[in-house]
Amino acid sequence: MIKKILNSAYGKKSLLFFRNNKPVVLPIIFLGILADILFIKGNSDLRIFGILGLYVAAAFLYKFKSRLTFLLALVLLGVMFAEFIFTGTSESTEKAAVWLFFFLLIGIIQQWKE
Amino acid sequence: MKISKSKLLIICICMALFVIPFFWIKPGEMDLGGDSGRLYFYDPQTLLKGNSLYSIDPEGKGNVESIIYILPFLILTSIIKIILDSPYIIINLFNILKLTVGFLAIYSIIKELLEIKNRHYEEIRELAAIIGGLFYIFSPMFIGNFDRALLNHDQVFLNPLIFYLLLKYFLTSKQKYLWFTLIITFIFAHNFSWVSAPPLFAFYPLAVLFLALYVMFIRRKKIPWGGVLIGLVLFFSLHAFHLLPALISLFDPGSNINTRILNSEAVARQLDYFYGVLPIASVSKNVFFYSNLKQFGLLSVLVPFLIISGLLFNTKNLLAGGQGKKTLLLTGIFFLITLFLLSAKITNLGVNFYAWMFLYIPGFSMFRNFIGQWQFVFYFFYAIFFGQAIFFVLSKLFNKYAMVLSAIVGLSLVLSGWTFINGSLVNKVHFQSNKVKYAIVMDPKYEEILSYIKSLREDAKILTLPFTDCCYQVIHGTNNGAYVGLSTISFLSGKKDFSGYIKIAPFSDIFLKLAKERDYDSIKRMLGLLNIQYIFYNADPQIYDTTFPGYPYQYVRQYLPGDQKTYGEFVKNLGGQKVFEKGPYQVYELDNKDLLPHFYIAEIVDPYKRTLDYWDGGRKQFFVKDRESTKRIAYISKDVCEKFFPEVSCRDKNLYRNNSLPNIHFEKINPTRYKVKINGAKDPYILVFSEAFHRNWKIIPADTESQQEKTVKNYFDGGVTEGVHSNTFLDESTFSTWGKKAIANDRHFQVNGYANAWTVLPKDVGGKENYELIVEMTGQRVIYVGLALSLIAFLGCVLWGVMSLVKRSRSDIIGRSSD
Repeated sequence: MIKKILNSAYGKKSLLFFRNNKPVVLPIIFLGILADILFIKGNSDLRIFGILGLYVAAAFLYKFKSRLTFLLALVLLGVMFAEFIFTGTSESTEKAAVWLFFFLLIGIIQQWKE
Repeated sequence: MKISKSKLLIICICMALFVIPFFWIKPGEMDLGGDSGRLYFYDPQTLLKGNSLYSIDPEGKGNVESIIYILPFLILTSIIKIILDSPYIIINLFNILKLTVGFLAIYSIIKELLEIKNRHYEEIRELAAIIGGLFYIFSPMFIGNFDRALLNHDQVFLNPLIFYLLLKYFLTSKQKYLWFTLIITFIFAHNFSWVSAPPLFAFYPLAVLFLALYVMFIRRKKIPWGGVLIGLVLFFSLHAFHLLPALISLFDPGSNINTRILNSEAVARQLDYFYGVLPIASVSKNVFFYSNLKQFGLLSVLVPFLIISGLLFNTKNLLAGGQGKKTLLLTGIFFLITLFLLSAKITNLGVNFYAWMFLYIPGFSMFRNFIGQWQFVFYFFYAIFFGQAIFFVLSKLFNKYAMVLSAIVGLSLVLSGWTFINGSLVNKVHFQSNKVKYAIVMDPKYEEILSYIKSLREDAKILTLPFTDCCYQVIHGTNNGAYVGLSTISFLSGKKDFSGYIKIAPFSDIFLKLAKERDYDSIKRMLGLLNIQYIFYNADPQIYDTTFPGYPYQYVRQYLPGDQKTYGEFVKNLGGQKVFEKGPYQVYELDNKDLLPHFYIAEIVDPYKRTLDYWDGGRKQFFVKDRESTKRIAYISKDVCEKFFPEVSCRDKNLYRNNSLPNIHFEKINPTRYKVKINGAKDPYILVFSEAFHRNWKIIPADTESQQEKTVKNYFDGGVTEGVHSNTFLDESTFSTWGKKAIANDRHFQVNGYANAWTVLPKDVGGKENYELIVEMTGQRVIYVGLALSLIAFLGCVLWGVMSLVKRSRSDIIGRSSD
């Protein structure tokens, strides 16, 4: 199914766009995460798993090392800590914690495979 | 012999941990309270001889509930008590055990997981393991549960200890590790019993899975499956005395365990509980090493920061045995799994998945209070994850910097647990009290009262006043401390005590309403129906009035007297005669014309409509309506009546009247066995047994009739006589009823809202008029079988240990002589 999608014209176009825009994709993902933590109210699984899916795809395509994922996790920890200090266990702190959870998970799986 | 710096550090830490608990409470003080009760530190021998051996709750109406799982631990504490004779020292020794074993076990696990190739990193490995150990014993879970510790709080040291022993066994296949594991689980059997099922099932499946994956795929060693199988058989044999009754109960439809695990309605209720707890769950608070001290808020980021740094530096292959870098990653996966289980709030999908587990995994509902149940497992994996991660961070630094960083981290961990070290988290002030502390110096006058209550006849039942919201008793010590916990009267004197709202069910609300109305006659009828003959009244103003203005009396105080002065009048109006007094403690014997004995033959059976429409379930009429002139009454709900008396109209006020009542004489053999002699039973009769209804109470005709013994009390002009009771756990007659058919089993029903009753027909006893019956809780038989099995297994284990020791010393001698 995934193969079928990737082999379709739309899939191929997307892959090409992905490949050609490496410097753009990662900041977009990261800004998306920050926006979700800091500016968007409410939880959405679609948003979280959508962005995570994008990151996993990017990691796969651009062959990101686990190091990058853990560095992003460190940044997320910083955001989470700042939120914790200023707002306690608020919604945004919890969101940051959930993002940290997933980045640790992805990082660990990546490092296991490396 | 040269001791390395790190070893010296460990010795210093252990010495500090050994000393710390002695500062928490002063000599002579005891911390005995809590929901599980810790009276075993105060008087383990009485507990051992009395209630721990039987499947009957020592409190209240005598529900079927066993605390047999505590038996090995009681034996151990009894031995220690004989040697040391000081609850203060025993309590401290157990606190020391938790601290030092918890620390050393985590330290040893981390060291074992960090098996290094290069000796250069030895000191760093030691430091990392020490930091991991400190992290564990100063984690919020560890330090936050020392006060009012439940029985299963032992998991704080048992989890890492058993994990370490199993790890060593899996890696080395040496039997000594398996042997120690088995013996430790036996001594602390209460942590492996039904009552500890949530922490047990939270930790061990994950721990064993981790060990199996680690040994097979990282260390690439074979697990000694044969030994594991033998270990499992021995484990179940050793624990048969408590696991067998629990297992039978699990498959017994309608039993408490069966309902909790397999009843879908009950499971759905647990799910509601889960959703109730969910809002207070937090992912971030668990990730941060959250200290009780606000000043340490900034340091809380240190631990997760070092963990992620450790993952970043986990590139160089420092570990031996082909472990690569995967040990840290495997631990990380288990850390994340437990973080999810502890916080549940990892996306909406995560919450739904959690709820799904409640519905489809049998028994998962035990984790309804998931925060309380998973925190111990989470911090265990967090500690070994952190210990390993900091090793990789330290290994990247120069020795000097590694030392400095270790000192900063170690110090911050210790200081963040300062409220624990100084004892303010352990010897707390009672909730809503006027600065009354947990630790108590027992009042000698109260000990005299306890001795007096012990000397009352074996079958006596007692109402404790002031009455509490739940099931507690409050005793003020000679210091500024008070005991708030399970009834000492029930557990230390062996007399059934009604100390609070829950214990007097199903009459709890009725009692409070009658008390508010000061309807003393009806209260007396209620006490009579519950077979309560004594009142213990603690008139000490320090346990009620202004000292405890709220908890544990908050709800009942709205109905009962508001201060000790009016309480005194309330007790007097109940019409008892003071039979013993010492200081503020008073014992009254009720002169109650409405007292129904423990056993009696019902003269009249009066049906009532049991309904949920009324606040009292329809039972208030037992006490407040005009009673029949006869006292030997049994109330039966209409639904039960229609089932058991199909031939009569259950709308009749008195559906059954027996005019030729046989005389009976009864004696208690032990809490699960009574002897009842019947004389002159010409017609069918209804035998009432004023003990909580349970279908495992059976009546079995005795083979031989025992001699007529002394009568200590008689009721209804000699119609019912009470003999000399005893408490015999084992004698030649214990098994006399085994294999014999119970009679009137299909005519066993509930009366008086809680008690047992049987309709006995002449044909049941072969038409005899005079005979003896044994009333027995047959569930107790499983405990006897289980105890025999466990005893054999224990002796086998001891023999195995001794033989291994002899074999080892023999080979040592041979080795030395050949040298």
